[in-house]
Amino acid sequence: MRSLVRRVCLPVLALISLAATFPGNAAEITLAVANSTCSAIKAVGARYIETHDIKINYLCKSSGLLAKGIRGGAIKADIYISASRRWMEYMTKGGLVAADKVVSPWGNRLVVGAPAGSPLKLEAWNDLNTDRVKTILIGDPGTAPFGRYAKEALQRTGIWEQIKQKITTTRHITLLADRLAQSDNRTVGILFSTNLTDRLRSLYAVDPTWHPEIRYYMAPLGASETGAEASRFFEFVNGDAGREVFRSAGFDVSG
Amino acid sequence: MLKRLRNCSLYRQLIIPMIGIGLISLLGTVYFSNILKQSVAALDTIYVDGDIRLHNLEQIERRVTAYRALSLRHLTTESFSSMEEINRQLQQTRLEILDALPGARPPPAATEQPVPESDVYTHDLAAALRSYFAETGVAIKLSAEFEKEAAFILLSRVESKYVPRIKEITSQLIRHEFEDIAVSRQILMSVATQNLYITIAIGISGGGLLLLIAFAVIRGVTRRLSRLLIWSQAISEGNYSAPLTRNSSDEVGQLTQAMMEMADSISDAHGKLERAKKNAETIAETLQIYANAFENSGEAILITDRNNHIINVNTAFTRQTGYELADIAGRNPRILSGGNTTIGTYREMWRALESNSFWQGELWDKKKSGELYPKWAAISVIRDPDGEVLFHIASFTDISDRKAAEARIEHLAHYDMLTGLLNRFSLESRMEQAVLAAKRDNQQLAVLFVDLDRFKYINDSMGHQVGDQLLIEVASRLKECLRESDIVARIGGDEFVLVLTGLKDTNRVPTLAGNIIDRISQPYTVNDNVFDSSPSIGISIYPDDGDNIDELLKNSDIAMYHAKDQGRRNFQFFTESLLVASEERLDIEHQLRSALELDQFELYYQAQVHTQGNHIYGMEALIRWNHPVRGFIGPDRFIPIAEEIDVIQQLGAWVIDEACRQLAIWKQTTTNPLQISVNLSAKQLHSDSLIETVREAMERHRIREGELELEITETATMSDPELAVRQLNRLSQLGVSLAIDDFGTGYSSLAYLKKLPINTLKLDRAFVGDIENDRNDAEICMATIALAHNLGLKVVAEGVETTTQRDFLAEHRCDYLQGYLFSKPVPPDAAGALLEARDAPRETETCR
Repeated sequence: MRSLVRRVCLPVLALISLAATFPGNAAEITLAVANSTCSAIKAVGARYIETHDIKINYLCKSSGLLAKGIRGGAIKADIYISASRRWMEYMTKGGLVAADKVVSPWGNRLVVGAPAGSPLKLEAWNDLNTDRVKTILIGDPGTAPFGRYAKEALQRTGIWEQIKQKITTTRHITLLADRLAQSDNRTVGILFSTNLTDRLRSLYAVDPTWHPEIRYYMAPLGASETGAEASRFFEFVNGDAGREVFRSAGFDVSG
Repeated sequence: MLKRLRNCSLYRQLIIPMIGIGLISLLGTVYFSNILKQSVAALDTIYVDGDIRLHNLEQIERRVTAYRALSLRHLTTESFSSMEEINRQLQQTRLEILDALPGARPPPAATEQPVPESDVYTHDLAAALRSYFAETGVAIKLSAEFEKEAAFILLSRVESKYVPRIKEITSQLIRHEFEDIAVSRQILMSVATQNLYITIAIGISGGGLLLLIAFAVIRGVTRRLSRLLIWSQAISEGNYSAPLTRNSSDEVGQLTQAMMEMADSISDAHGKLERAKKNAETIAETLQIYANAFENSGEAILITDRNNHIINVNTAFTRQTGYELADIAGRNPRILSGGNTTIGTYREMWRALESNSFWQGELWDKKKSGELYPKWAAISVIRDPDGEVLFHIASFTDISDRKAAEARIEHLAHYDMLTGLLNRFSLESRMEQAVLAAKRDNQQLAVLFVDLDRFKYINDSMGHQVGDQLLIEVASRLKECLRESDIVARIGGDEFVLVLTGLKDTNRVPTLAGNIIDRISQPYTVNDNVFDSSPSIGISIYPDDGDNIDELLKNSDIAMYHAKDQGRRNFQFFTESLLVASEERLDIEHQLRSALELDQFELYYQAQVHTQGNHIYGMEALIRWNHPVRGFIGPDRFIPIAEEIDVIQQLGAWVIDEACRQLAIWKQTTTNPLQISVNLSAKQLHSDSLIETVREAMERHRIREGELELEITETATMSDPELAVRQLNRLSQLGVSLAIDDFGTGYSSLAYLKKLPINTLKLDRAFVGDIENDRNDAEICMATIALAHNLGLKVVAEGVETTTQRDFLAEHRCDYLQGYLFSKPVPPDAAGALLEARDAPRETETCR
């Protein structure tokens, strides 16, 4: 089926694309963004290209993997968005980002989520330590910030050691959301509230004082060759229009 | 005491001291052989102990690998309960390794050695393993706290700190173990040899003492006998009043008594004799002259009468044949005949005697001892004036020594001194006969060229003597496998040639070759060493594979080399294609030099795709030789030759320039970024002109930073690391991306790779293949991908052929893939078409 569509579409699309790209090589920028902001930033991008002749590539991975990839040279991008301070600091220390260019327009909240159809109820945080919950999905604390926040909350409230054997980690947040949606009634996941999908529901909002404030950090990358195009887009995201998209996606734009 | 002994009988005078000394020697011998036996037992213990320790060291090596695989698996595991299971296995493996650690060994018997070096290593190994386990434990603990990131960094540090060291010490220990066994063996050998010498010395000195005593006794007897002789001479001279005393009661004393009585009787007889003597004297004088001549002749002489009955022989005859005259007087000389002389020779002899009265020639006769020997005989017939036979006089010379010398020279010329098999010279002459016979009888021959695998290694490591013994044993086993009529020869070193003659068909040759391989591959025992060897056999058939011996030998040799290439311990029949292959190399060598000028090379391109989405991000340029006669030739067949004959610099420069030119063409039509990869050989990497070549090509075709990638092998950088780092840094400054081509062959070198300015690791196709074969290795490799990401490197997997491999690699976050699953190497046009197809769906995404 897919090949059929491709066979029919291909010449047509090739023509269209030829027409679209003909006036000259459109500028092209690449964004390396934390997975949790992936859909929001794509929405911002979609709005941006309505008025600008530019092509935007998105690389959605966990903040840590992106940071390492950029620093090692495996990833080339113009703008980097991290879901935690830690990985942005890693970039400034590596000389890839100028410290004074870093902005932090949005924040987020952690929730305990479960599959939408799950009858599970969670009255208190400590209910995670009961038999009702068999598996707790969190992000990989090493590279995925939402996992780091979750671990810190569990440690701060003193139940990490007891519930540790229930933990399974995932590499990034969309993977966690997918897996949680397919899980049984005794599985919960700790994730950003903005990443709850239709197939998930929130059981419990995590107290924000149990972990460092969840802030996103965005910066243009020093080595970028398409500096002017990138910084125009950077300002757009950081400006009112960008913030509005993020606010409607559930992010905290008060900061 | 001595005096009393002298009165005993002679028998006792000899036997008493003999028994005494014999007993002492026997006791000494028994004592020292017992020590010898203990040495041998000790040697056995050393071997068994050494074997156990070697086994343990191998166990350790294997389990350390398993431990590493487990620890890496722990780090890549995301669920706590799975981690706990892995941790349990880790603990168990750790305990097994510590249990298998070699303890300090008791010093070998009968030696006083300082603390052996290997004990120091053992201590080091234990220390290194304990530190490795302790620090890995910390990493595992971090991993169990879900701090995978920190755990990876720690584990990679721990691995590069301890694993090479542990491997190094383990191999040192294994080496020492071998050396220790050798040293202990030598010490015990020398003890054993010393014991053997002592035992022999006791034997010899005991025997010497016995001889001395016998000499003393016999000397006493002969002195008295000679006195008796002098006395009896005096008697025989007529002095019957000569004095004689009897001084002991042994046999000599009794003899003296008897002779004194006899002297009286002789005295009586003397008077009568005196008269007869005068008559005889005159005759005797004449006869004496002839008798002397006869008796003292150096040649053996035999005289028979007219009826051919023996009437006299001389001393030389007795010396030669062992027969006294008394044994054979009156008999026919036929009794001397050994039966090896042909009837014809005798007939011929009698005919000659009849007509010429003289014959000479070679006869095979028998000595009294029954021994056969050749002699040169000259026989004359003495006749009276009427021609009647009076005597036959025969003289003989023993020619066995000359015969033996002749035979030995003959043997040396035709046989191999060491094994007694035919040598090359006589192989050729025997083969010539065999070929002629086969041609005449319309039969076939099989020529088997047998070469021992690892013989040089055995010879070098265990000494020529052992090597020689091995060859002798191999020769005798080969002979056992064949019929009497077949030919077995050793034509040099460890090369044997067998010729199976008179074959109607060759159906049974494979079975026989199989038997020979089985028989020769049985373990060998030489000087208490047990070891294995095996043959590689090449077979050529007369007349199919050649109708002369040179061709048959050459072709069986070629087939033998093919058998070696096929992994040894097998046999191969000669085929025409083998001949072609060996000629092909020479051909390639000749034509390679001009191929560049004749424009016979061509670059093919293989796509490299993103793991996610499968779209192309780069092309690897692969050289092919479009040979006018042989068709396409792959680089694995001509690049090594090009390196050898120094064409590689020109060829390499052409490849870089051509790839850049192609990239420039594609850049005009494609909008998406594209990278081109080119392989560098080790010689190119070390060449002074490399940097200039790359710079020129990049400038000429306007290649920008990151668009050209050069692939080098890890081994190429290892041969001269300093130069490699310098060259790679300069390439990196030019904006060339660098890849390690055969990554996955040496895991612990990741630490070394950190020092090189590389951007990409290419996972070797063998490891990609392992995904479906050996999960344990594949997992180590995949954990390496994670570590490589930590160093900020891209990872490309080569040789991806199945969806299983692709899914596994995608799951383990491999960045890029290359292989037949996506595209085989294709000519530039087809590669260009792939790129166009790539650009189309990308546009789809943007326009959707």
